[in-house]
Amino acid sequence: MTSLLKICAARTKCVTVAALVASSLTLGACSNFESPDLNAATTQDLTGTPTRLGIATAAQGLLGSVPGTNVGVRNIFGNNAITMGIHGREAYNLDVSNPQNIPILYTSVGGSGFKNLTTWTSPYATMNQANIVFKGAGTATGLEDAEREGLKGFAETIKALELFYVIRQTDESGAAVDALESPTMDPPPIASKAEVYTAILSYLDDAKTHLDAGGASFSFTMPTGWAAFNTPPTFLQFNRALRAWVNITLLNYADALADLNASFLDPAKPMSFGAYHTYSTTPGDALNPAFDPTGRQLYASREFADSAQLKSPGGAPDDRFTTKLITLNALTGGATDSVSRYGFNIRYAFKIYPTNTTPAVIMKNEQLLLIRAEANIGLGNNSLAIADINLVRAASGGLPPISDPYVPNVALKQPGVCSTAACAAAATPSTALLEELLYEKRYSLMYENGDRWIDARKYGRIQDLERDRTGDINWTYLMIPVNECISRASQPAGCTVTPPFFANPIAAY
Amino acid sequence: MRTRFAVFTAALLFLGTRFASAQTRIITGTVTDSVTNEGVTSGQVTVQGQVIAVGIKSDGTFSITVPEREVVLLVRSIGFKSKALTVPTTQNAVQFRLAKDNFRLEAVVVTGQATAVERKNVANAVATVSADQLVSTPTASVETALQGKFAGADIGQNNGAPGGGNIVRMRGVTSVIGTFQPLYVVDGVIVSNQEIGRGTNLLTRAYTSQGIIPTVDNQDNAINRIADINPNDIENVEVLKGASASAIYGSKAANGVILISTKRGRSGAPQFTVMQRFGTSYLSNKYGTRCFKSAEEAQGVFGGNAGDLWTANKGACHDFEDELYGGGAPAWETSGSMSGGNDNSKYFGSLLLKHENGIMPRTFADKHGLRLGLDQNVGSKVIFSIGGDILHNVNDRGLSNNENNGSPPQAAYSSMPSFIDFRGQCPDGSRVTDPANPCANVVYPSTAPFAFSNPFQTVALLLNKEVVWREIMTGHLDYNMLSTPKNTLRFSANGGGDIFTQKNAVYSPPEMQFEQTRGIPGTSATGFGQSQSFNVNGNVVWTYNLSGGSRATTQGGVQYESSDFDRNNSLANNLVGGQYNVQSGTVIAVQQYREHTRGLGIFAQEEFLTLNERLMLTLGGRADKSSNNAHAEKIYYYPKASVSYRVPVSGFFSDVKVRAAAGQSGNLPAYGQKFTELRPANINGLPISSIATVVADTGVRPERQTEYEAGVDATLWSGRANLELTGYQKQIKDLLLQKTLVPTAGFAQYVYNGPEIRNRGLEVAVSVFPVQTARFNWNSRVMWFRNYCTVMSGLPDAFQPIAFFNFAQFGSTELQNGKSCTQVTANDTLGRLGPSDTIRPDGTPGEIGEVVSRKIGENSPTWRGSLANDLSYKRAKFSFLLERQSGGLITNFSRYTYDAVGTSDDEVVAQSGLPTGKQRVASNSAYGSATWDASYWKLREATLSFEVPPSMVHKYWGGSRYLRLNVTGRNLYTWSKYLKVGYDPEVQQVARSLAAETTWELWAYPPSRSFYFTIDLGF
Repeated sequence: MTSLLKICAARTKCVTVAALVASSLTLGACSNFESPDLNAATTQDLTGTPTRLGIATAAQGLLGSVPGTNVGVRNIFGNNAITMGIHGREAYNLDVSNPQNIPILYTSVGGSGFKNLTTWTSPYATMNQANIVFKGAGTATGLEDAEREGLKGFAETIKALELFYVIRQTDESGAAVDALESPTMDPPPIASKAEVYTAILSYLDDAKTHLDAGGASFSFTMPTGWAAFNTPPTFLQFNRALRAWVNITLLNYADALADLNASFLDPAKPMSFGAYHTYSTTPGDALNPAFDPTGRQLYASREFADSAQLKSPGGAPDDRFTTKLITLNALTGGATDSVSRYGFNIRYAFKIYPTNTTPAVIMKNEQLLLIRAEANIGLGNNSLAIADINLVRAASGGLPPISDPYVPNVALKQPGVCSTAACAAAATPSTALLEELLYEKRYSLMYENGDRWIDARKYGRIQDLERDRTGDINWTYLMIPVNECISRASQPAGCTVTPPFFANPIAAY
Repeated sequence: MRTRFAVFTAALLFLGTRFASAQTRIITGTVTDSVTNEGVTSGQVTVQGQVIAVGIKSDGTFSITVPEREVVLLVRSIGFKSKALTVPTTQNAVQFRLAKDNFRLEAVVVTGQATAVERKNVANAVATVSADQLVSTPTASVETALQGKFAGADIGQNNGAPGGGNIVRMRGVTSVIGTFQPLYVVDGVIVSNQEIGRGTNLLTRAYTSQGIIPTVDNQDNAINRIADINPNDIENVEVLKGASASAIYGSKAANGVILISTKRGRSGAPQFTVMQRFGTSYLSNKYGTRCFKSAEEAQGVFGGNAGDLWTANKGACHDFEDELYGGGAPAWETSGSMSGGNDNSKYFGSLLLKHENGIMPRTFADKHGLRLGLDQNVGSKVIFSIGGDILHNVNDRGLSNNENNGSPPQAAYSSMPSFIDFRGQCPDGSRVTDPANPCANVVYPSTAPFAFSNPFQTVALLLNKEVVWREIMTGHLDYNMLSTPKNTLRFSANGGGDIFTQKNAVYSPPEMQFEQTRGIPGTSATGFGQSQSFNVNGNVVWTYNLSGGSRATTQGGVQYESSDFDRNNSLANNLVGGQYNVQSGTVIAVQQYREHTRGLGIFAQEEFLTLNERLMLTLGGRADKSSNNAHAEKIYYYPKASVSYRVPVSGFFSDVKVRAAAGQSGNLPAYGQKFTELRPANINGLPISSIATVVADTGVRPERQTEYEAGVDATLWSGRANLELTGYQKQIKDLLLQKTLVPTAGFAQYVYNGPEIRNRGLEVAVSVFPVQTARFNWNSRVMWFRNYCTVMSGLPDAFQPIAFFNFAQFGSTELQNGKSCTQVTANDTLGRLGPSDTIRPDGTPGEIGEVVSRKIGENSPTWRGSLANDLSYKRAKFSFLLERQSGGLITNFSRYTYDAVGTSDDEVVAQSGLPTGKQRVASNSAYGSATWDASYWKLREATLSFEVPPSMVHKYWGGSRYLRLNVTGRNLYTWSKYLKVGYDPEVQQVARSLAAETTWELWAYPPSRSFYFTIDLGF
């Protein structure tokens, strides 16, 4: 201010003008007016030239789930176990606090309802971050070239995993093959099922190229659940295992077998060997969403009890039944045998996740053995398949081996329950071994990633899934969610065509 | 350079000295009220064309040193019309008789950063509320005291809880997701009106979607911090309602500006005031209790063994609200002030000690304040003023509003069987009758399995305390650089700091009933928030008096501001041994939130007053930059222009003014809105980061409001009536919105400057003095306004800013191109919910089961109005304020739950004009069935005061000046249909813009009516 006073001491008239000039100078002169975000890092830290540590934490973020964000593969687990479990009639969600969700879960009331996929958001948020990590890996400071390749291979594998999680549910409805490059762009096209699977396989193969050049170690740290895959060579085994899972979903038996050869499949290792989501009560970490200690809302299908094979004629049931399920009587300390809610009569709950920090499986050795068996059945190599099946039966179920050539052992079925289509099919030799395999998959992969529903679709058995109440519906696959469709000028078929479903009640419990 | 400045200053000083040494004489005089003939006790006497001024002393006399020659003396006093008298050289005593200025037309109104003009020339409808209108009835916060006192503002109280918590919305919808509360300026310094969460979300789990431990949230029933200000220290409040008046405040002013001027010292003998007040509040409305007539009826509602319990309790009927809130809540206030000084130094000091109990036991609000104001002349050219406040506010607000675990008392009532006595039981078997003071070893009966908490236990054990220490220091410097009959040049600077710390403690011991449900009993949450802000502005004002009485005032200046905010919270569950300290928890979380904002603006304004002070033209503008904008360096310009003309009139009309004004102002994005954050977390301790769900446009900028205002002000009936008529239109472009993205974008929400909305409104204010005599005076004021807000363009789809409970029966505000900004819609499933027809809103036939969106009402009132009357006879005075809101919508979740459980008091027997609870529940899934009309009439204030004749007081104490006694009441009576279903039509769950969310009543704090008795002594 003094500067303007001196200019105009003699002539008052120019004071205001001078004040304005001086003020404009001040306004322009206070440069670097920027005030940073004091509460969190921002995405600007990942674009441009991110640091080695910044990219590492973001890469690690692809495996997590963070309160207030949608990013991370761990986000999908609750959906895989519970919601896909409901479609595959493994689980029921009968939450008392949210009764308004129950009718739309099982019937077709309303415009959206349960035929629409609800967890489409998280996979694309993860893919978006994977893209940013992929780009950042190229420009980040302080990285060796091999480490850049390792990051890229990791990010692309995760992208493939998330896209696979989406298409497993939307199937013929299709999906977008990638997240948008910029949030304000027009919505991406919805690709067909075949295009999406092609994209997944190409992501996995690109990832392999990068991982091959990734050296001996990653520049970031894997959580403990991924301990067996925390270097580029071992992570490639996960990549190949995932490729086998994708290929078996497409019934590409030979490809699946080829992938398995490079995967972490190892009959000598424990059945549980694999990749897991881990949880803890540390502030900022998450809890296992399928944990329900008091049986407040999550229950198991009664069918599991009826279909479980016996370890010997008249003996105890399959170990997988007794270790994974608990009766309500035991759960409530004898207070009640069953729960009647919303027209369901429930007698079992899961005890697969006994604590809120029990790890949840992503892929495991047992699953790979069963994929190998499935591929071998598809290729007619029944003996090879039976060997793998027997390995699983013994290790996981405590069951006697099946015979080679396969003859269903009716003595191991529970009395009086062989009235379902599945049971009847067991008598037909051509599909009998496949039935046996699906039984093993159902009990080995119970309440994990919704495989029963996918297998039922794959082999055209959706109509055989239980329907407990009149009006309950079994969907073959799901439509694209409303919020993805709503702002599109032209609606893709996945937004408008109702998927095939089966609604006639078979039996009411 | 420095030397030249020194020379300039020396020249000015020299001018002053030369004048002082000239020949002078002393004129003494008296100033009296032309009607009552009583002395006018304040004001200023100046010599025309000179810079000589003295104050009128408290006995109505003055004494002024003037040049030897003939002079013109000008006397000004607030509330009176100014008067000029020519005093010839021979006359040294003079008498002024001043006429009342009923409508304060000669009082000055702030129109620039450093200038003010007389109200009679002002081109905007600037509302002024004086101290006596403000504090006649005690209120928790200054905004509450403004309710019903001027046109154009929607002022609501969030909750009945003591301590404040208000929403002020000026002229309709100004923002949706941005700040919507006005800017507060105290003595030229911007002060914080931040709202800091208390941490009760940890108890209530009202908002739980994030993490293992919930975050501090805006559903914490927080107090907006303008409540800290002591209303007794306010001299007057000026309200700039929109951009046409507030453009000079630039990018923070789109929501209006509330300018608070504090009381200053007056020259003369020291004067003291002491005020002692006592009061009580009572529950003014309740939900009531359903009494059960038979065991079967009880069994039917509560199931289990409720029938047996009814029989065992002999069909008793407990009114829980009466048992808990029945006591009446005492309040008291002691305050005092001192003022005095001479023509060179003036001081003002005040003290406040205030305590107010809430009607929910153990809730209270205390306010303690000390203030000192000093005005000091430095030589004859410079006046330096400082003001300092230290304020201490303490409160406990109990538990109310949204929850997810049945913890607030009201959330429990609806599920509690009235035939059981749930009051605490003492070891001797007696029941606790005063819930705030239970006996030792009291046992609270469990309300399980009916409800999750026992309200008697909750109020007795819960702590939700807040302590705020705040310092506001303001400084003002006025330097009359040059003063000649033709030119005056003034430098004026304002600056100050506002610092407060807010400390919160929330504690619920492990034995609390609602703590049992989660298996980690006991909750403790502490919060420390600190806000530091300072701002400073410097202005140069040049006034040029042209020949013929015209005057041009030119000003320019710079303003800089900086503010920091830091909040730390420690949250703990599962308290070992029930310890209060947060480190005793086994599940612990810490949270921190920080802000830093800087802003810089320059402004310039030209005012031209001409045609014998009839025509006033103003042109001005401001350029602003702020670190909250995406481009922090980018400068945004806000122009303004206005014209007012006083039409020459005579006869019935004494003054008629037509005025028009236009201007622009902005509303900054919130701090952090421009960032796309990477959220930190971990997997078993391994650090991870993930991109947040909200992404901002790369060019996020201030919302821009353009306002046009025009009106007529007329004084008629020989100065006894005044009419102000104002119409306005304001368009808000670049409105900040958060829209939902397609999930394939990788983000859920996108913050951007999008659509345009328009507010149009009409404001009418009439003030009449039908009787004005020495003995009897009557003033009646009527105020009325309405506002229409329309979404003009820019919305791709209909859009719900916040779908709090997106169920048909509750409705949501929905923005839609071409529709009202505050419309509330709900989904109707054709043929299933609501009427059985299948007609779509557009009249076409639909299909059964089709979901269509129907408008169910307007969130904003159609109009608001008030009627105020002041009647005085001799020394007695009676005044009251009646307020009306017509229209508006409230969603009442509480009544919905009472009905759903079957515990509404009108479950079986209907109240007049309403269906029974049973009938309501039968249709409670119909769209809009839980929403109600919010119209009301409210007797806001009524005061009866009496001034004891001075002769009587003097008998006991010669030194006293006055003794006044008054009885006053606030929110005395409400007429509203809504009272039959809810607590109070003014309730609001969270402070949000009317376009953002429906108004909710959700387990609100019960409303009260208050009475006070006050003794006011001046000496």
